[in-house]
Order: sequence, then C-alpha cells, then structure tokens
Amino acid sequence: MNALFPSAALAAGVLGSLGLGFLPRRAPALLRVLAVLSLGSALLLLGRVGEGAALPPLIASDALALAWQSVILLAALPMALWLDSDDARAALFLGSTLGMLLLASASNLLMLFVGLEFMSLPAYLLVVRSRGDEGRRLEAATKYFFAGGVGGALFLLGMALWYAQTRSLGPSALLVTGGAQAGLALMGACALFKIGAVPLHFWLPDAYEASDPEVAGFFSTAMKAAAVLLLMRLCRYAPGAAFAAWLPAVGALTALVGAVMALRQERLARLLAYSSVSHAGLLILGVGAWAARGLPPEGVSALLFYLAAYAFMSNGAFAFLRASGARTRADLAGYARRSPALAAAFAALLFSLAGIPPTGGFFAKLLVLWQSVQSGLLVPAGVAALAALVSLGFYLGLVRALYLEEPAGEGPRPGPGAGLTAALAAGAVLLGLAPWALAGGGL
Amino acid sequence: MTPLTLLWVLPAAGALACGAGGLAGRRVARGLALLFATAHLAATALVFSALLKTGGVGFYAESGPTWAYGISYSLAADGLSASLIVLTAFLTFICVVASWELEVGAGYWAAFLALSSALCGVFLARDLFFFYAFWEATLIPMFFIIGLWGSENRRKAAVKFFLFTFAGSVFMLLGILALVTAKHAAGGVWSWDLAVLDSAKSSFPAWAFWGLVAGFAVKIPLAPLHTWLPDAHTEAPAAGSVMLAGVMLKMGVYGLLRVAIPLFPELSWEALPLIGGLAAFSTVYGALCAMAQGDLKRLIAYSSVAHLGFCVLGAFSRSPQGLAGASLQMLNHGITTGALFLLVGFLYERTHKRGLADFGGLAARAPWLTFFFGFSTLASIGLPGLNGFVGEFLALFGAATALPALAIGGAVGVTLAPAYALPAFQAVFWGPEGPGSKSAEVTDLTLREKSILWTLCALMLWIGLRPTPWLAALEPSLRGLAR
Repeated sequence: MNALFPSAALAAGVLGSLGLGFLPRRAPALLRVLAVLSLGSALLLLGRVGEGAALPPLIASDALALAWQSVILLAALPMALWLDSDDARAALFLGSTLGMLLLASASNLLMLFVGLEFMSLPAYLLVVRSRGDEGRRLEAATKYFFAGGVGGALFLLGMALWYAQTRSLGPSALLVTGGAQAGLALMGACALFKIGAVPLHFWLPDAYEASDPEVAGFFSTAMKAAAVLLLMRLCRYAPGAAFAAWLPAVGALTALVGAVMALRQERLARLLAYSSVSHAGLLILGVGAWAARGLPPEGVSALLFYLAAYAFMSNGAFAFLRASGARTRADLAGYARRSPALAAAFAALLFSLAGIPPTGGFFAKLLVLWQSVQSGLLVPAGVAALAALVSLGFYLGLVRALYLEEPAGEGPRPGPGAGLTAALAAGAVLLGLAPWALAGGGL
Repeated sequence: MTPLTLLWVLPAAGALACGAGGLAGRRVARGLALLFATAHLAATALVFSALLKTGGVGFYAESGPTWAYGISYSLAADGLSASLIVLTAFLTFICVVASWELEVGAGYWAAFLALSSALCGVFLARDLFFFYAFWEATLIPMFFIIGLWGSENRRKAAVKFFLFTFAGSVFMLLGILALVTAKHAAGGVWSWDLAVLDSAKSSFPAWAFWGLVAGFAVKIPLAPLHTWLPDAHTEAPAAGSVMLAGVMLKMGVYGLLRVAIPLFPELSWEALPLIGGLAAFSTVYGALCAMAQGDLKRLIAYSSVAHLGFCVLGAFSRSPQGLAGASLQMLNHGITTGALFLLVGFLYERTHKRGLADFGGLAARAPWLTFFFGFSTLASIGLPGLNGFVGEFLALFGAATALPALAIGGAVGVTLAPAYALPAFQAVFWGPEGPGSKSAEVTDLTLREKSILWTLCALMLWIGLRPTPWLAALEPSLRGLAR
C-alpha cells in the first residue's frame, strides 16, 4: 500500500480543491496553500516509500519511479504557487500530476495507459481554462486533444499487438519479435507524441502559446519528465527493443528542427515552446544513447539531471513571461533598464537554456552529449551540438533585446511572480556551480 | 585557499564588489575596480616570481576533490600559464586605468574583472572540465563589454562574436568528451585531468584532435575562420579591444600548446602542412586585408590575424626555437597591440573618429601621441631591438627548421607588415590634413595616458633588448613539446 500514499496525497488535494469551490467566497490563497501542501506531503511520503514497494501487478516503485516522481513533483511546484481563484483549474492541475505519478510507477501496460490518460485528459482542459483569447484557446485545446487521442490510440494498438504475441501485459524477459516489436514501436510513438518529437510536435507550440505561462511551464517540465520516463520504460520492456535504435536520429532531428523553428518566432511563448521541442530532442537522444549502451545507470542520471535542470530553466522562463507581462520580442527591448533584477534573472535562465557554463543547462547538455559520444553516436551528437549552436542564436537574440536595445513606448504591464522567477534562475545557476550535488550521488 | 585559487577568485570577488559598490555610486565602483585590479596584479606577480625561483618548472596547487565522472579541481602554473596570467592581470589593470575617465556604470568595471577571472581560470585549469567551463565563461562578460559599451554597430558585433566563438568551442567540447571517453575505455578510469589523460595518448581518436583544433582555430583566429574578429575588435570599446586582442586570442594558441599538441604529438606533426599552411596564409592574408582598411581599429584588428599566424607557425613547428617564439610572441602581441588599441581609443575619445582619412598632420599637434604610436607601430612590425622582432624571428626560425616552405610564407607576411603599418602612420601623423579633418580637435595625451604608454613601451624595449629571462621562464614548460 505504501506505494500509493504519494498519489493518495494528490487525490486528497484534488478533492479538497473541488470542495473549496463550495465556499461562498473565492479563496485563491487557500487553494494555493492546499496545492502546495498536497504536493509537499506527496514528496514527504515519497521519501517513506521504500524501493521495491509494490502493488502487484499494477504498481511497482523501483528506483526509476521514485526518482522521477520527485522530479515531477518538484517541477509541478511553481504552478501550485501561481494558482488563482479557479478551483476547477487547481483540481485539474493536481489531477494531471496524480496521473504522472501513476504513470511513473506503473508496472504493466494497462496501468501505464491509465496513468497516461489520467495525465493527459486534465491537460486538455487546462488549456481551455487558461486566461487568453477564447478562440485561440479552444482551437489549441482541440488540436491538442486530437493529437493526444491519436497518441492514445497508438498506445492501445501497440498494447494489443504486444498482448497478442506475449500473452502478457507485463515486461518480457525474453527476446521478442514481429508483432511485439511493432507494438513497442507504436507505444514508443505515443511517448514521442507526448514529448513533442518532430514531426509529432505540431500541437505543441499552439498548446503552449494558448495556455497561461505557468501552465506551459508545467507542461514543458513535469509532463515532459513523465513522457521521457514512459519512453525509457518501453525501451526496457524487452531486451533489445528495436524502436530504440531510431531514437538518436529522431532526437537529433528534433533538437535541430526545434531550434531552427524557434529562430523565426516573434512571440515569446511560441519561441519558448519551440525551444522546449529542441530540449526534448536532446532528451530523446539521451534515451537513445542509454538504450544503445544496454541501459547503464549513468544514462539514467544524465537524463534525471537534465530534467531537474530543465524544470528550473523552463519554469523560470515561463514565470518571467508572467512576471514581466512581455508577449513579443519587441516588449523585451531595453527591459534591463525598466527592471534590472528581473532582466538579470531572465538572462541567467537564457544562458542556462543555451547551455553556457557555469549553469545547470550546460552540465545537462554536456552529460547527454557525452552519453551519445560514449555510445558511439557521433553523428547525432554532432547534429545536437549544431542544434545547441543554432539555439544560442535566439537565446542570445533575447539577451540582446534585454540589454542592448533601447526601450520604446510604455513597455509591458508587469504581473506577479518576480520573486519566483529569480528563485528559479538562482536554482538553474546553482545547479551548474555544484552539479555533483545532484549528479554525483547515485553514481 | 591556495595561491593559485586566489588568482581567479580575487578578480571574481572584485567583480561582485564592483556590482555591490555600484549601489553606492559610480566612483565607488571605479575605486574598487582599481583596488582589486592592483591587488590581482600584485598577486600574479608574486606567483610569477615564486615560479622563477623554482627555475620556471612550475608547481601544482592542491588537486582538489574529485567528483562524479572524475571531474577534479586541479590547477597548475608553469611558465607558460603564469606568464599569460601576469599578462591578463597586467592588461586588466591597464584597462582600468585607461578607462578611468569614462562615463560608465559599475557593470563596466565588474565585466572587466569577471573577464579577468575567467581568463585566469582558463590558464590555470588542468582539468578539462574546468578548462572548458572557464573558456566559455569568458564569453559572457565580453558579450556585454562589446554590446553595451561599444561603438555604433556594437549589437551585431556582440552577437556575432558570441555565436562564432561558441560554434568553435562546441566542436572543442565534443573533442574533449571523446578524450575522456577514450581514456575510460582504455583504462577504466574517469578523468579529465591532463596529466592523467596523457597516459592514454595512443587510444585517442583522430577526430578529437580536429575538434579541439577547430575550437582553438576560431579563437586564434586562423584564416578563414577569422571573420568574427574584425567586427568584434572594431566595435568593442578601446579597453575591450585590448582584452580581446591582448589575452583572448591567446587562449587559442594556449589551447594548442597545452592540450592539442601534447595529447596528439604524432597527429599534430602530420597536420603541420595543413595547419602551418593556414597559419602562413593568415600572416599574408591578414597583412593584405590590413592594407585595404580605412579604419585604424580594423587595420590593427587584421594585423592581429597576421601576428597570431606567427604564433601558430612557431607552435606547430615543434622546434625549441619555434615554441619559444610562439609563446613569447603571445606576450609581445598583448603588449604591442594593447598599446595600439589604447592609442586609437584615445583618439576616438577625443574626436569620435578613427578613419585614416579623418586625420592628418597630428605630429605637430600631439607629439606624445605620435611618439607612442610610432614606437608601438615599429614594435608591431618587428623592428630589431623591440619585442616583436624576437618573437617573429624565433617563430620563423622554428618554421624554417620544420618545413621551409612555411617559413617563406611567413617571411612574406613579415615583409608586408611595414607596407600596411607605415602608410597608415604616415597618413595620420605626417600627411596633409584633408577637408573635414578632425586633427584640430586632438589634444595631446594627459599624464595618466602617458604613464600607461610609458609602461607599455618600456616593456617593448625591455623584451626586445633582453628577451633571455622571459625565454628562460617559458622554456621549461615547452621542453616536452619539442620533437
């Protein structure tokens, strides 16, 4: 039962936030406290779940699950601090996080699917319940829903093929062939959908742009972490999963296409969305490199570090959008003169996203590239390095706008959250100054 | 804290202090910058003199803890490192004094000290992880120095500078990763330490060498990878150009001498015709481009391409003379080109012009300016008795022993140097004043400016007449590189 306690804390949070909706007055502060408490207690309970706690045949808390659940909870924390008076939105957010926890500790295909859908269904609604322009929200949510639906269908089809061959929904210790391999590939395609791999990324920029910045931050960090874990689990499902051989190529291509597309964006949310596609490419490359070398533990810690660092960077960058109120590149012109501290925090986040030392983003990229070099994946590593270079182009363009250009007009209207942006930026830099704090332990 | 750690922490602390001091006012930040730059210069000088007492052999600071993946904190200073660190601290100090009257905020001073800290880190680190981290960390302060305090096209130049040099270092990083991986595959040990990697030389893949060389060649820069340089040098503020040309270009040559050549002794010798050929081409091409410039700063920038070509020629010749010449020429170029960039900066501060056609007959109006400019120009083109001659001669001599054809190319470069430097000097200082000449606005150097240049010119003369102590300090660290 232990294994379900963290999820139970989140379920209590879902019910609690719905209950708060019955209060006569809107209480945003109460909602925030409730969400933080429920994420925090889930984290605490996670510490008490011993490795190996299980609920056969559905749930098994292995080391991978525990590590990923902590990253997911941490990555969701900023969004909890942003909640407003919308109680349904709080419930959706906590529900989606609950789905991620289930996905992370699922030990058979059916449970993986349940977790996946539990994570995704509230996510579509989170897009709808954002504050932006209604038409755009609905359009983006519909697109997202259909993409997610196709992904879910692929997963089900894959599961059926797997079952047909192996007569089991659990992992196989033996080599599998034919239908089971095809099943794994289909399920892998579903994971790639969720991560936002090119060419299955088309829904992602719209969804991120139509959502509130904090929701986009949540999608790009917590959900990406869950999807990466799904991909990793599939790679481990049978010895020598054939689809894993394609991952380095897909990852390198995703990194490059994401970076090139981001170059052309004027609107910041869209730019960050493509940047998130590009980062997803590196993560996929990392999974591919890990699989190519027979799933060594260093590969896991590289991916874990990447996701942790990215949780700071991406949440921080989206928090800046909210805190500054900037929507387009032009809004950023000369922003350092309007608000030096906030601009400095964003610049630090951008340098971290670009992977310039001494930041967490640098060490994250370094670890993944290194894994690929060790796996002998020189061409994908070279393409990913090229992508890092291209992406520096637009990150640096933003720094240029912040510092080197003259402010014009009124400037954007600031929102709340400057402190959170600064804290996340500090975290991203500190991870780079002492990366061993995180990457050293388990090795 | 060991003395070597102090060498990069001190300016970093200075940068933070300047940032904090900026809250109390510009003058406080400026005073703090001077204080820290002076203290840093004194500290580097102490380390250097301690080093000379050991006969220039060098010493290791504590090798700090080793972390995951064998990343370790190990610093060392031998003659080559220490001389470049002294150069860094010295030029930073000069830059602070030279910018004393500028109307700039605390960020300016903080950026220079941060740059100095990262540069010292590059020259000290013996662990390739830290080497790379410091290497990239130099880009951020320099980006802001060019972009915030440069001239008209500063924004474009700053972005171009960052992107181009980052492009090079990405390949360098892949090369480093390959080295570390190969060492692990060969011996089962993770290490980024140069001394440890040295034992796995034979197992390194050849492409790692080319990755490293690509990173270093962009930084040096070797033609045709030099295209970022003229813009960055021209648009940077005078002190920024001094640090760029004076120290940052040396990172590339230092990387060749410290990493690429020692780890790939055979391959770097086989690569001599290609890399040496590019270096010889750079000396000629840089000189020809300099000839065509109408802007004094651009002219000096292209002359740097030519001068650094000699350093690479000497380094890859792998003869004792060539290596000594290359490492001495790094110091020479820092001092001489630093002086020239400062002088053009002083002209620009007075007139906001720096074209050859904007001036004429300055010799009559500003005799001190003329004297120092003439002196530095002569040192730069390699007049015997001044520092440039010693370095270029040794480098060419080394190249001649290795592959005579390269020396011929280099010699053409040497003969072209007066052809761009002297006409420029003549046009500005002795030539007739054209219409729209700004010469009337030029006042002669102030006492502060004169003292800077006296110091620099004294060094040019000193190294030119007595190069032996400098060469003796450098020689032990180059011994292992010679064939």
